[in-house]
Parts: sequence; structure tokens; C-alpha cells
Amino acid sequence: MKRYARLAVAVCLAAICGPTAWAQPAPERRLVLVASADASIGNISPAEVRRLYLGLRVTAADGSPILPLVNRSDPFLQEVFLQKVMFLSAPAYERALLANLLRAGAVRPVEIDSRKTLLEALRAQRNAVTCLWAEDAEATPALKIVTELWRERR
Amino acid sequence: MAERFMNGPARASAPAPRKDGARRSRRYRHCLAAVAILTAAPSVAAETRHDYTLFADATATHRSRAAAGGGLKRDDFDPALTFVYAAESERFRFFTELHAASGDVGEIARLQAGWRLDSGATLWLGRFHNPQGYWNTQHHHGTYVQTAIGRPGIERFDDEGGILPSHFVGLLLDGRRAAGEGVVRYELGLGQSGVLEPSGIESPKLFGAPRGRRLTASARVSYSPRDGDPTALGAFLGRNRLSAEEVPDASEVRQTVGGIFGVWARENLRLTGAVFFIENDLDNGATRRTGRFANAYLQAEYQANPAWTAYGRLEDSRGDANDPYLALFPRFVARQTVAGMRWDFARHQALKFEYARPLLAEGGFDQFAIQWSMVFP
Repeated sequence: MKRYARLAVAVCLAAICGPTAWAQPAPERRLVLVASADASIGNISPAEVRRLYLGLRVTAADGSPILPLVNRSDPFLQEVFLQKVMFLSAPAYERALLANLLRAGAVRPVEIDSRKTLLEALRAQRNAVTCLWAEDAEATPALKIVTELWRERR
Repeated sequence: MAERFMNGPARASAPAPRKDGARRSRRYRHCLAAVAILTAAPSVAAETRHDYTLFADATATHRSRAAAGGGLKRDDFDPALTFVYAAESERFRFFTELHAASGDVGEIARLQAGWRLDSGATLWLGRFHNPQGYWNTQHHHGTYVQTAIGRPGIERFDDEGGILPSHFVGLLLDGRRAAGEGVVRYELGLGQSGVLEPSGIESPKLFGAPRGRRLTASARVSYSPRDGDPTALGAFLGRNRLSAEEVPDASEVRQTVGGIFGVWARENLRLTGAVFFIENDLDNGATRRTGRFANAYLQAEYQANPAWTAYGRLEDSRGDANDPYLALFPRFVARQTVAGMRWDFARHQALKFEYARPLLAEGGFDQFAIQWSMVFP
């Protein structure tokens, strides 16, 4: 009998507390551009990010070129990046890169499939940048957020 | 690529066989030299970034009749390869485009060494595609990149029977400047143009003894509302001098080329067009003959879904009947109607099906073509 009473109390508590817990919003998703903590990259505009990821030259504060790395370890992140930052579909983005290579000799950004390799490349190359979810960037040591690229609207 | 069939035989049939062999040998030596240079280029600086890509295509064409004095066959098959390589370090840049096709077409289409003046401008030295027009300096030899199989008649490369000198050897200033959200691109070219022969324009060579030694100068400027957006509006102006010692009744051609172009792209629809105004002076020392004509094309593309794109193109000319320069190009396509479908059946591979009705000086014919094209990687 006592067992049933305990169970009933537990169910009631769950009924009272549960909706409150469920109503709490999930963490807001933010897409950010990151670099290694010692990079000399200052403020970078959305237009410069687009230029950078189209293979065109953008320089850091010290005048050295910024190296864009394409994060292909997360398909959803890549989709958001193309749609919300580049304003291009994946085929249109590939065509734009090929057009810039053909027209202006623009070297296409390096694509990296593994998150581990991506972070190693970021740390190894001082002015390399890539896109990460903000919570991943904040949880990764020796990285700094250069700029916020997109914020999920609720 | 269909235009290559239409004009290719003219280039192949003109020179004597011995000359052909020597040219072929020189072309392949030049290609080897370019490969040697480009493989050495990355070692110029430790932090060199480089990129390469390979375009391949194969086109089968059927015509309703042989045309232009039997020079155009009823059935044709033409495979082609284009290799593109780019390298850049802090200031130094290198770029080359090597193109090979059937019918003895093998060339260093472009070979450029550049010095970056700032983050937006580069001064190049080498062999270039002339920025007179839109198509050739947008798609170059990258057949996969263009939606259609064939290019407009006015935009054909000079070594494929085109009427404008599409290559030059010299200097090119290539740059871009931000203009609000948009970008302004410019190209200024100055160098040596090709030579006019009875069979057409012979492109200037990078290596070997220069022929003709006449100047070409070009300027092209365009505006795009946003980087990466294909929408653009631009204008071009060029002045070409071509040595024509081997052409009857002419020793030199002086040519002025001007025009505008535009691309409008929204969601699934894209419109591409250009208008050319061309004046030609044929001078033989004693007399001078002048002709003027205008040419325009408009291509519409509709992407029904990510795999299928339908397209059509209209080309037309005015004042071309009495131009003494055009009389030297019996295979110039003054008017043409094109309709086709592109099927992107795999990543980086496409099949295109195209019907065209080109109108030459001697009359029109029907042309059906199918093309497979790809890019790697």
C-alpha cells in the first residue's frame, strides 16, 4: 500500500514539475566564426565572410591573409552556413567557387570532414577560421569567437 | 562545344600538313613547359595555397546537312579536356588553363604570373582570354560550368573560328572594389593580339617567334549586388589591330568592340544577355573598307528542380551583310535559335541535350547535340 502511495506522490510531483521543466527553452543555436586564440583577426563583416568563403582574399589586422576552412563535419551546420551566411544552395555555392577559380584564379577554401582535424588545423594555422556552433566553440579551449554569423529565431 | 565542330575543320584544313605537324609539336612542347612551370610554382613560397581542377566533356553532334563547303560534317564526336591550376602566396600568384580537344586543338589557353598590388587588385603577365564580351571570361573552357552545350556565335574562341581575337599576350590588371553591399570588378588588358589568316584568326603564342606584333587593348567593368550572386551588369570596350598580310586585299584589320552584358538570377530563373557593337576597318595600304554591325544574344534558363534545367537562347545580328571583315568568316553564326535541357545526374556530372538552328551566310541547318561533362574534384 505504501508503495502505491509513493508512486502516486511521484506521479503528482512529475505532473506538477514536469511541464515547468518541459517549458524551459532549449539553448538558442548560434553559428559563429572562430579562430585560434592567438589569431590577429579583428572584426570581420558578413560581406567579408562571404568573400572569404568564395575564395577571395580577406586580410587580418596584421595584413596577413585569413585562411578559410570549411567545416564539413556537421551537415546541418554546413546547410545553415550556406543558406543563412552565403545565401546560396550547395550546388550554387560550388558553381560560384568554380567560377571564381576559372575567372580570377581564386583558390577554393579547404574542406575538412573531421572535427578533430578541423580543430588541429585551426590551432596549427594562426589566421585560419572556421564555423562552429557557439556552444562547441565556447567549450573548446584555445579558440576565440571572431563574430556571430547567425542566431536561431524563436 | 557544338561550335567547335562547326568551326574546327576550317582551322584544320587551312595550313599545309607540314606546318600542322610543326604546330602540333610546338603546342605539346608548350604544354609540357607549362606543366613544368606550374609544378615548380608552389615552391616559390612556403605558405603557398594552390588549387586545381579538371574539366572533361564529350559531345556528339548530328547536323541535318553538311555545311560551309563540306567543312562541317553531318556527324561529329568531340572529346575535350581542360586542366586548371591556381597558386597564390603572400603577393605572388600563378594561374594556368590547359585545353586539349580533338581536331588538333591543344593549347595553353591561359598562363599567367601575377603580383598582388593589394587585397583587391592583381597585375598579371602572360597569356589571357580577352575581356571583350561576357561568356569567354566567365566560363572560359569550363564546359561543365556553362548550362548550355554551345556558346553564342559572337563569343566563339578565335582558335575555334571566332571573329574576335579572344586571346592576347601581355599585361592584365584585374581587380575588385567593394561598393556598399555590392562589388565592382574591372579588367584592363594590353598586349599583342593574334594574326588574321585566310582560315581565321591565329592566336598569339607565348613561346616562339612572335608574329604580327599588333596591339590589343581592352577594358571591362561590372557591378554585382553581392559577392557570389551571379546577377551582374557590365560594359566592355576594346580596340584590336590584327596583321593580315596573308589575307587577299588586306594588310591590317583595325577593330573596335564595345558593348554591354547582364545576368539576372532569381531563384530558379536566370537570364544572360549581351549586346556587341563592332566596327571593322580593312586596310591594304591603298584602300580602306569599313563595316559596322551589331550582335546580341539572350539566354534564359529555368531550373525545374536541382537536377533538371531547361534553357533557350536567341542570337541575332544587324548590319552584318555588308561587313567586309565578316565576309572572311563564312561560318560565323550571325543568327541562331537554341533550345536544350541539362540533367545534373550526379555530383559534378551533367548530361545536356541541345537543338540548335544556326544561320550562316550560306543558309541554315538543324543541329542536334548531346554532351556529357564533368569536373574533378
